[in-house]
Amino acid sequence: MKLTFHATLRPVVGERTLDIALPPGATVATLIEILVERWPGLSEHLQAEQGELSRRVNVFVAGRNARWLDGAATALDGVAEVDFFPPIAGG
Amino acid sequence: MELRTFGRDIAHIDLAARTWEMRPAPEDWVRSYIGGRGLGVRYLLEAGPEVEALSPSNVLCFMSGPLTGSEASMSGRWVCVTKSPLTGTVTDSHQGGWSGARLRWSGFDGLVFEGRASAPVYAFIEDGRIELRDASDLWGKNIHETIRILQERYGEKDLSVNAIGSGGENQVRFAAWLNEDDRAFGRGGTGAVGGSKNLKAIVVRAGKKKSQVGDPDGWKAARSRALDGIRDENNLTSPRKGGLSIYGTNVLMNIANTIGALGTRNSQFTAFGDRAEKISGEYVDQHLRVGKPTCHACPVACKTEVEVKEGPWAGLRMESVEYEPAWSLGANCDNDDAAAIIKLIDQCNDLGIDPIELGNAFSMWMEATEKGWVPEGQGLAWGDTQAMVALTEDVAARQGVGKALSEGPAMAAAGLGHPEIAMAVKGQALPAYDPRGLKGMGLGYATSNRGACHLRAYVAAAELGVVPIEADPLEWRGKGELVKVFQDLHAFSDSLDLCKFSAFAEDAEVYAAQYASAMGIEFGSDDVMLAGERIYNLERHYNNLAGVPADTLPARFTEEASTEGGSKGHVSELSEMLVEYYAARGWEDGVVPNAKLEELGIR
Ligand code: SF4
Repeated sequence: MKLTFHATLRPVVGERTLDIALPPGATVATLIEILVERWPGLSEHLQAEQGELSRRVNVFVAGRNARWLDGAATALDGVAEVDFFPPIAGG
Repeated sequence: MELRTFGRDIAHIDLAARTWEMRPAPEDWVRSYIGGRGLGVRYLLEAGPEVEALSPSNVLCFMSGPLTGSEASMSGRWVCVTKSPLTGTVTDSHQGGWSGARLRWSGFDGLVFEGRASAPVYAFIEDGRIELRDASDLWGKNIHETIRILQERYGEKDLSVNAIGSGGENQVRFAAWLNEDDRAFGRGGTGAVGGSKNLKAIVVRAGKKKSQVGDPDGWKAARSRALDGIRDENNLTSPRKGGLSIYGTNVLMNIANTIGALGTRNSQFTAFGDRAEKISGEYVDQHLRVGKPTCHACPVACKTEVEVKEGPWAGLRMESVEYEPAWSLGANCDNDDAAAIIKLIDQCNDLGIDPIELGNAFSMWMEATEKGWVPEGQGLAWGDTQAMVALTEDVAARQGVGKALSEGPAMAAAGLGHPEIAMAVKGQALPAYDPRGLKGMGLGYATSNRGACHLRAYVAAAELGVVPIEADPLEWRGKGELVKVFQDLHAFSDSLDLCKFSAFAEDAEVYAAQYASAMGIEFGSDDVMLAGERIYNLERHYNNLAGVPADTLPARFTEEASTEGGSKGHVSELSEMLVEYYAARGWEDGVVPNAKLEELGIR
């Protein structure tokens, strides 16, 4: 799976993209746990109350915001791309 | 500077007679339409909706709002309101920097230019006085040079200059006004109206003034509440921490690409693939940024000053690379060269033309070229940046192919016999959010009172999840009511006049508290929404009287499915959304009925 980090999340990870292999049955929550373990600085951006997505991150699973799928429980089996954005808007 | 008496100091300038007089706005207008956009539209209605946009009978209003130039955060805005030569609708276009604040500090709440000068003039404004001075030596010069000459003449200290360039002088239908910070009254062709009146520039000299308000304690509390929201570290506006503050508006490029809302090749596709990164806010920040300018009273500092480091435009330094032109002249034209985008934006800023309209004119012509609809020798290839740079000059000069494109993509495509390839609503080109990937934005474009516009509703804030009301961008249900609420809220903030981005941190209650304490009146969040609704209906009523065509979107968005990204397979369900929207508005097929006008007290 290809992960892409955007905007303020990119300097925390130090990479724009990285490839990762997830165990079968992994969800967005699993992915966040793995990432926070590797980059503890991501914790304040990605982690919220147990089982919920932080308002400080938008996780896009194949271009769809996980908020409109199953949230942190969104399944990632067979997903090729996940994008991480902080809150973003403009003009 | 007394905020409570806002509306008293409106100058009416008769360009033909070269005279002016101060006439207070009627009190009920100020009460009903607040200031800025709302008050400007009321003046426009007075001039008659049937007026020809480029005739002397049109009025050109530059209005501040009751909070412009005050200590309220993001209060450096003012607005230009006129009848648009591009759309035939009412148009209002807002500008940042310090010009609006300086107008207020110079003793004026608004300027209403009427008639036409017999020869080029500029207005010099200082200490409650206006002089119309000869501009014959400036006519024919572009904006950067005009501003430089006027700065040399009057000194840079406390000086703001707004000018038109050759685009405005030649009455390109999407000509703009720009100030010394390259901030534009960008959309709708306000610069062409200036050109038609022989008005070359507006020069204001004024030092900062402290505000006097009706309720000083309430004012202090309301402002700090607004500022707390802006500074909240979870907020995209958070200074030097939030995405908008660090990367500017072009932070949107990658997210629009991901969700399938980044129109590419004249919106034949909905994403730009890996090439989006090369024109994104992140790329510009890392490779080209040299400064982070701001506007009056704004800690966000979302502007991005850049310098091209290599290639044909090496050494070019300008401000600012926004998402809209980065898209319109970038992905939309199949161009991933950030330096070329910077060059093209700088040309637009100097010639005084709207880069959103220009990029859409180019992409339309490129599609027409691809399809073989353009006469031999007049084609434009996708992503041909050298040709785009050359053609930009021709558009402003209205010569060669540029003459057709200077009418805007809608008229130019109609001239080719293929109106369907103009991505425009009511004659104004679409901004950078594909309606198939952000469905509320599409409804916002269709129902905007100034032709396609992202800023009248900016329901993307909900669809991208940055405000407490969140909405699935691919769900059409519920968007009718949502778009109405956002349009009304922004009609109010545009009338105050605060930067649009204040809405990422402030809600109707925070706006109400600032307005009420400034004016020393009772005013709540319901009053905010009611005033916003009244202003939106006033604009629509004007358009109805002016015979503006129906609310619609180009068929590409309702019939051709999104090709890529999260929106793949989706079209815009515009008809369904319009039913919801008109029900929420109480309109009959886009027309404001008399009962609604009466209910809102519009007369
Ligand atoms: S957020 Fe940006 S555009 Fe708005 S006032 Fe601040 S610097 Fe200006």
